[in-house]
Amino acid sequence: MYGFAPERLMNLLIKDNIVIWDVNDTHDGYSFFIGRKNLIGLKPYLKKTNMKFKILTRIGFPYLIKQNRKRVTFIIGCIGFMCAVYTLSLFVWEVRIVGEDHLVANELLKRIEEQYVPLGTFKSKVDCVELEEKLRKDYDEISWISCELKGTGLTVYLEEGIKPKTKPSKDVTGDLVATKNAKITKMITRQGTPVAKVNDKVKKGDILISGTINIYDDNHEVMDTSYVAADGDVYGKTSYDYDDYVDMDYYEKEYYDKEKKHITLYFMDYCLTPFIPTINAANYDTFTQIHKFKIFNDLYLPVGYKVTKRLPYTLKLSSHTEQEATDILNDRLAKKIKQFEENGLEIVKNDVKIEKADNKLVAKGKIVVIEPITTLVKKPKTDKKKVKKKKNK
Amino acid sequence: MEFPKDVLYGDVLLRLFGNREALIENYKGLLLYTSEEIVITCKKMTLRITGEELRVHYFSGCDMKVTGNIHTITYTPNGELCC
Repeated sequence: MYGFAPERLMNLLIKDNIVIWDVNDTHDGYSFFIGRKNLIGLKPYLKKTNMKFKILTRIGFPYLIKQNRKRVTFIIGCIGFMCAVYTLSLFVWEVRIVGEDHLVANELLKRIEEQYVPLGTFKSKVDCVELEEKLRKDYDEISWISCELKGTGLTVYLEEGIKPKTKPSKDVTGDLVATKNAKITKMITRQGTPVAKVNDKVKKGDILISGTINIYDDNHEVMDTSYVAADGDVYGKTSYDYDDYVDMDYYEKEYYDKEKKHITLYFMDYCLTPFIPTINAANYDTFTQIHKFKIFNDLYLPVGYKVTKRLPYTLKLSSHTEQEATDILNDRLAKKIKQFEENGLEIVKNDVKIEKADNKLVAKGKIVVIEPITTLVKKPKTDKKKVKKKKNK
Repeated sequence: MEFPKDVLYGDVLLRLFGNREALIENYKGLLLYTSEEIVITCKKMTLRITGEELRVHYFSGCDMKVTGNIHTITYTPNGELCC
């Protein structure tokens, strides 16, 4: 644009929220970009400020088509491309999970992709509410779940809670039996008849709380018997054998050459690798990174490329120092103990000792823990029996 | 409760990225625009940016981005501008 008052024109545009960008000062005026619709409405402002404008270039898809209207194949290609993008945008090509913590993302993804929404499902066939309900049924840990279908991606947002304890139904009867050999340290009976008591040594399979309740009369004779699902908490002291070792000699990877890369193009399940560089090595590590093509942010397409890196290496024999091997064993033991604690086990005693044997460093010993030791063994359903003994006196 | 000062006093907000970019908010209009000097009017004062190859990257009703090699930024009370 050029003329009398360019700044005034810009101020008017600012006032009326007409966006222009890339404003450049040229020797005879200013050049800038403006939207096509705004350009049509620019005339009153130009008249008011006594300015004139000249269109230098037109950029955009409609202009591109207009310029290339004689190139039929190009236009057919453009239309074909648009049709392909539109067709592909009707399917789900990406499933993402946001907010998972303990649940393994892969497991949940696998479940969704294999059973509910396989990649390539019609978007119109995906019912988010139904999917939410199904996932909630499958995973009790999920406290809140929301599925969102945006572009060609299905995003599952979830929050995890604590898995609710399943209460046995009233129709079920059974005894609580020991799951392992233990010495009982704590016992709470909520329902049923306690058979064992604290400090008792029990074996695997022993009944701890019986589901049979006998009601005695004044003469200590059984007057009535009812069958319930035994319920209670029984904690026992159990021991776990711990055995681990580290070889003093080990093989170490020594990378000796530059990585070799190659690119694979893929469309759905079809792959095409134009060139694979030769690699003269018996051993090599392979890393593959998948890049999915997407339009804008959410329009994922089943097309992309994979970059594969191959790193050749030789195996070199090395040996740990005693301190290194001890550290490794201690780390592994600490992980095991942490795992126990995460599962609600209380560590009472840990007498694992590290000793050297042959060309190994061995950690051996027992870990004594306090843990719940019960499981409900269901009995076949029986009607409530009432045994009444008539006194024959 | 404390109100932001720019809302209370109608101050101009200026964010600088080194001397390459300046993001200006709460401005009123443009007084002068050349590749060496850009003068912007704000509610209470006038902002004068001098430098080389200055360019308005974009502007809208609420903010403006100036790019280029910025040398100086000067605040002048409204009406006292002297080029």
